Amino acid sequence: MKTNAWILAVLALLLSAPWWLPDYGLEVAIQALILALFATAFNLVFAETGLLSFGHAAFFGAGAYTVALLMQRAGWPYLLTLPAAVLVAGLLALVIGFFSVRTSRIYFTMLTLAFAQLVWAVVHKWYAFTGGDNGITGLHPGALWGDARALYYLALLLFALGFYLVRALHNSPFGYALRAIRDNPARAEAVGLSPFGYLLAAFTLSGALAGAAGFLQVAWQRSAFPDFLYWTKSAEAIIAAILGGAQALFGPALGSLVFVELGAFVQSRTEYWPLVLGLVLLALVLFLPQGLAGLGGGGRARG
Amino acid sequence: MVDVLEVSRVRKSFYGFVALDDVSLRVEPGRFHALVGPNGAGKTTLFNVIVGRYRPDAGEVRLEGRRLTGLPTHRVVRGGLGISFQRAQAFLSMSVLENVTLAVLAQEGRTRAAWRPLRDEREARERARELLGWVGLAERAGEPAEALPLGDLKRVDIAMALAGRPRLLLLDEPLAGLSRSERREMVRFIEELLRGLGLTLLFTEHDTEAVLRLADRITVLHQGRVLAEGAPDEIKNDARVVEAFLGE
Repeated sequence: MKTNAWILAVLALLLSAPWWLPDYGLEVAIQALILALFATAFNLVFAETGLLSFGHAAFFGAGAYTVALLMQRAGWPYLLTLPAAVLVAGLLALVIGFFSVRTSRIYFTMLTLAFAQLVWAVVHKWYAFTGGDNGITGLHPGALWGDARALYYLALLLFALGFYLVRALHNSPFGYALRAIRDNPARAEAVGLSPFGYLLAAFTLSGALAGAAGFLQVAWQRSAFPDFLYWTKSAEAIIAAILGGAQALFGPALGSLVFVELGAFVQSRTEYWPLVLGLVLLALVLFLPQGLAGLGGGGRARG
Repeated sequence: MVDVLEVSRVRKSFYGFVALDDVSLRVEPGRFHALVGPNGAGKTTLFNVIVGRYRPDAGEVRLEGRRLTGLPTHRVVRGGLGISFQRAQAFLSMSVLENVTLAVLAQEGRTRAAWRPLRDEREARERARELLGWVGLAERAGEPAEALPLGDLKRVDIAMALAGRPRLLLLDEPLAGLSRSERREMVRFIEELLRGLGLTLLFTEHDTEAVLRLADRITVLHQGRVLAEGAPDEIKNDARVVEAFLGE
């Protein structure tokens, strides 16, 4: 089958899903789309620059809390909070990135983790402002966005936009510059690229996109919780990207779908989801290091 | 006529170890200037000072009269200096053509574009093809860089170094890691290409035969100091130089 036919088939499936999925299935699908956007955002930094951020939950959570606080305290309508969520998450990424992207490899990973845990601790304890560990609950995103179908299409639209953005970036001179810096920083400087600005720009953009995923999460749960900023949330993006294949543009989305669907399936039958997840990851790393996208044969698939 | 490169009284030490002690060097336009010396003589340190990777403790570096000292590498290379490294270094995740196209765009400060695909940058691609033609790799433009043998990677590296139309090219051990026949081939290649382009060259090399063949002028470094400087014939017969090399 030709690539175009594949794309059309997937598109038809995605667009028609709310009309044939059962209610529960639709809820799971929305969650998968949110994670897909989050993991794709994370992978912009991971795949293009080779830097493993363990702190993307901070941007996801920053987006979510911006939405929740604006709705609860300022009475903003849900949809209008999107630009604010993206902006706040992006600014937070700019600040954290400013201190982190200069460091390399493991130090970058630990630093982003530390920053994110710091933000989590603040949100978790600041009862007067964020509601502390109670979170912000009882939000009403309006009749339309309270409807699962509408929310599904909103999530699909935002994911598609995010994916398109990451893909355009991947193919652009900017994307090549990022991979040049990843492949060989010394050579990149010697052709006239200064790594810091490129890495910071990519990290900021990635954080802003993660904020859009956080925006969606609030409508899905009608709440915001400190858990959104906890390190396990960052791990979800990492697992989804690796599961699907970080070197393929659609890898993180594919990984998110499998991660969320498999999780829902296993959790509805047993209480051993972490055990199953562990086994799946083990098998993956041992037998399929390119992730599920590696099954398609294209080790370095490009979109 | 102003010298292409002027290194004046550069001093650099690391934790008390003096790597460069009052080193001066002038490279005249159109000359092929070799920098030789035993291991640890300070050649690499001097290269790193010139390209802005190290900041000298004293002294300065000028390119065509403009001061380079204190500028970061990515600024230095956009001011007319091309660098090719000892270990051939391409971006291995990309094709040969993409490597050179990126170098062309980077030199023109056009790598911030995040929307247009790289493959639509026609002018830069044309220019990259031209550069690949110069280094004899036009036919391999579409291949992944990681598939190339070392000798070809060095040529890609040189094509990338030429992307910014430099007046001065720095080559750090262009023959390192090559077989005997590849070395001969590379020497001929450097001679034909760079002489043809009228480029000024500063290079380091351990292969004495190649140095004597390529260089118009040789500077000998020894223990961080300039031991001798002159035409190849003078250097060959300089007693101090012979002693320094044999004494190692």
